[in-house]
Amino acid sequence: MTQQFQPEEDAPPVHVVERLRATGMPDAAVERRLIAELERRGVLETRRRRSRTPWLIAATAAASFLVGLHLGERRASSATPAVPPIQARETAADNAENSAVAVSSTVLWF
Amino acid sequence: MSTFWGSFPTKVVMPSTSVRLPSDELSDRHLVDAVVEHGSQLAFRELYQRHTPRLHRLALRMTATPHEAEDAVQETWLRAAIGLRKFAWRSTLATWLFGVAVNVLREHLAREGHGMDVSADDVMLTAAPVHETIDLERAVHALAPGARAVFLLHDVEGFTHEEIATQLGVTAGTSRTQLHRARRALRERLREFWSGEET
Repeated sequence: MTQQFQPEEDAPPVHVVERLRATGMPDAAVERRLIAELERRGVLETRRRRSRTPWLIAATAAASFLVGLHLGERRASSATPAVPPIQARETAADNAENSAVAVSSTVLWF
Repeated sequence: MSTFWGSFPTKVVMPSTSVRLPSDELSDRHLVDAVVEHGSQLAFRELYQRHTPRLHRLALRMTATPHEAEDAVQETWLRAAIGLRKFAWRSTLATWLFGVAVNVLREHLAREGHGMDVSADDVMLTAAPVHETIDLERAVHALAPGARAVFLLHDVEGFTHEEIATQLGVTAGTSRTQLHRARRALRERLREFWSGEET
């Protein structure tokens, strides 16, 4: 029996479509190769580069510097109230040295 | 001291990556922007997971082996990732991706000596065997590549004839005609399975 072209009646049954839709992902190695190739071509950032961005280094160095200042201030406040000028200068020099050590050790670490 | 450390953020959000969100909260557009502007691997992986099942499905039915299908999927994404910068959102991302996939598959078929002529009158590659059990996958593979592509894109992947016309470089009317022929051919070859009886 010849039927006229009726798109809705012509459609495949649901169980046919469901069978054809029942496929999974390709092997995980495909994604890994793809990512590696896109990193090589510079389309995607590499993970290595992302972990050493300058702003992270700068933020860590700044945090170390602030910690050094904070430690220096605590040592200064726990000392005797009247600090002679020469001892005050030495305390400030100690603070600067502590901060410099903190920053340089952070830089060396990176 | 503990107060100082307590105020320091323990989780840093990188500008080139996105904090992980449920996929339905991030549209394709957001993810594409993150890939194009920041080269975000996280965003690209989300796009890959979201769209690859359908691409893989099409590739499996348009190629001869799973290995060829995987190669086609990889090549599709390579071209798509490089071409994302120029994608102008005149269609959905899925429609565009499938257009890229169709071109990859067309080139693959051409290397194998097959064309993807969507306007061909004869939609079956081989005559139906007389005394052999036909299964659905083999019947679909027996469709000519052009008719097979239209059938898969419309009935399995849900694209409209207008979208298929863009992907295949034909008119919507040609797509409709080929779909009708493909459905008829499959129905004849899978008479028992089509009516609901397993073969």
